[in-house]
Amino acid sequence: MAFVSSEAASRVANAPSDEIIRIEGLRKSFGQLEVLRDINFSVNRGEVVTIIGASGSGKSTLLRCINLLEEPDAGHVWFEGKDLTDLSTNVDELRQDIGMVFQSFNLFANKNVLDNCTLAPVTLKRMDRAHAEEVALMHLERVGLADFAHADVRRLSGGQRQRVAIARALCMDPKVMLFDEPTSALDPEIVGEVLEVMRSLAEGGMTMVVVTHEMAFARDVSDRVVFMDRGVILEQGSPAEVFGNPREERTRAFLSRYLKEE
Amino acid sequence: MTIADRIRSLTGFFRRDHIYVLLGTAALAAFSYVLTRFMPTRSSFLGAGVGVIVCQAVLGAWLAITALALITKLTHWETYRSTWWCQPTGRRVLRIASYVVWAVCAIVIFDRAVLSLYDIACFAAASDKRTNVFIADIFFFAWKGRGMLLQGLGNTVIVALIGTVVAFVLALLLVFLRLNPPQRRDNGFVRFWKKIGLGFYSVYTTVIRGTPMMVQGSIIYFGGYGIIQSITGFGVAQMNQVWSVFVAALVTISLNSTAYLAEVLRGAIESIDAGQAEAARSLGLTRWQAMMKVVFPQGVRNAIPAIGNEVVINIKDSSVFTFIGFFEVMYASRTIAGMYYGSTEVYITTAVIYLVLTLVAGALLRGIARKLDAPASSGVPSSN
Repeated sequence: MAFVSSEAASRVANAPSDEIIRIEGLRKSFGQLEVLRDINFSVNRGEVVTIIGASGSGKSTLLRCINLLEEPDAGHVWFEGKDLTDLSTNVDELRQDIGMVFQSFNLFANKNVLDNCTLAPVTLKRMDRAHAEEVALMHLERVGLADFAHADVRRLSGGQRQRVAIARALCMDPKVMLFDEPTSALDPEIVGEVLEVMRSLAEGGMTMVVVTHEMAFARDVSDRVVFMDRGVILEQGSPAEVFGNPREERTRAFLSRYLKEE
Repeated sequence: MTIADRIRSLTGFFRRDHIYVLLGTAALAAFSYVLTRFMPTRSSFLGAGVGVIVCQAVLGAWLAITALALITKLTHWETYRSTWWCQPTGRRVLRIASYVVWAVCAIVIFDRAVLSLYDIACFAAASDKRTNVFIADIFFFAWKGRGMLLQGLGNTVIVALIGTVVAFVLALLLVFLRLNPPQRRDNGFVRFWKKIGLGFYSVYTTVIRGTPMMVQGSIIYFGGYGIIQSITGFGVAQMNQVWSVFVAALVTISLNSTAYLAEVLRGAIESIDAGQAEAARSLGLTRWQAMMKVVFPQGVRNAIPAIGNEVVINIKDSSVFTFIGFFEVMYASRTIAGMYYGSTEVYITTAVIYLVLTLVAGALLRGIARKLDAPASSGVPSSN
């Protein structure tokens, strides 16, 4: 069932240093429910990969396995050549380079916007506070929220919260950004402001793995689209391939449902 | 017509008409009227003459007016809505008249209740022996025992406050045993000690919360006494200095409260959205850092109302230390009751003291909680 496109495989073979994330034989079950079944998958530096698929197909679990928020039952996850699933690996250290944005924002409720952004750099990178705040303000500026630096996070709108969450992740200067349905909890009219920030990140060359239901974003911004179905990667390729000429019947059915809505 | 219907129409007869103006004032007027029948005491300014008669006339008149209104309603059942009683003029006159009646009631209650109680209290305080008048004796015992009651009050407050503070510190330590389950990446040694910690937490909270504090206090006091004495060989005088009932009470209430506060903290911390810890972990913070910097501060803040409740509970429950002879409010009350051969009269004072204490503590703690921007407390704290 596992599927690795020949293009991706050749890219791995030709330029192994270009590969930043590599997943092999990943399996994960929640009780009786098998959520991921033998996933093989890799992401190259600078690549924007979107993962699409129906609810319950395992997209989010796969994403959460990349930084080991979800501990896989079997298989390996390599990040820059280090195996996260190896019990002797310091996962906390590797996570510093893997930013993550959640569906429900998860801003620290006991801190204001600026402190949300500076907590990790000050704690982990031994950055002095003034410098950390400078960096944080730069990233808040980038997401258009520098004016809200001292605001209580509870007073922000959903779209503003998600942009703060993106800035918070960027403050650690990550090598990869993982997005777990970043716009699913937002009202339709404010989805755009978050997608705009993500789009500019992609244009800036950030490596991104995005789980999303925003098909327009997947089509326009990503380098590669991965379609997941019932715990396996059913199909992957360039947006033109997957959206224009899907190989699998299930992909076609899924896309027709979504494209009809748009 | 069923009986229930009859009762409903009967209550409706009274209720669906000027309930506050006519009937409410009438109830107060009746109460005040009864008060005017009592003899005036020394400080009374109304006395027993003209002043009282005027007041009685006003109050009686209002009762008569109310009765008249009800009779009119009964006789003019169908057309009552259009009688004078329900017209705007009638309503306004009745309302203004009711203000006069309320004023008279206030005067009577101040004269016959407040001033009378003051006179009784003065009389009881000046008396050498109990008066055998219930209300006077409440004041008599309270006055005679004021020194002991104050001493007991001090001890109660000290034990409850220090006990809760110590318990809070211990609970912080204890709850970490519970919140640190063995992880996949722990080595065997760490895993073993974490399991021991979990077991200890579970046994400790179960045993402490499953036994009465009176029993715990007895075991700690007498058990501790025996152990320390056998080790040091101290005599009674020395033992009372080293292991006094005060120390035993303090240790007991601290250990007892630790179990409850640990459970309070655990609940508050576990109620924090898992996404908070996940976000911290995703940035690279360790489990410990995520707990200390993100989850724990939020959990403790949510626990503040419950911690305040624990103070109030400890104020009340420290009364069980009477059993080991600790001189708190209840022990002081028992002593006074024994000295002057009274009981109910003394314990009413005791109840008032506890009530005032818990109300004051509750108000202070709510103030502190508001300062700390904690969620509001709700309801009266339940007992352990």
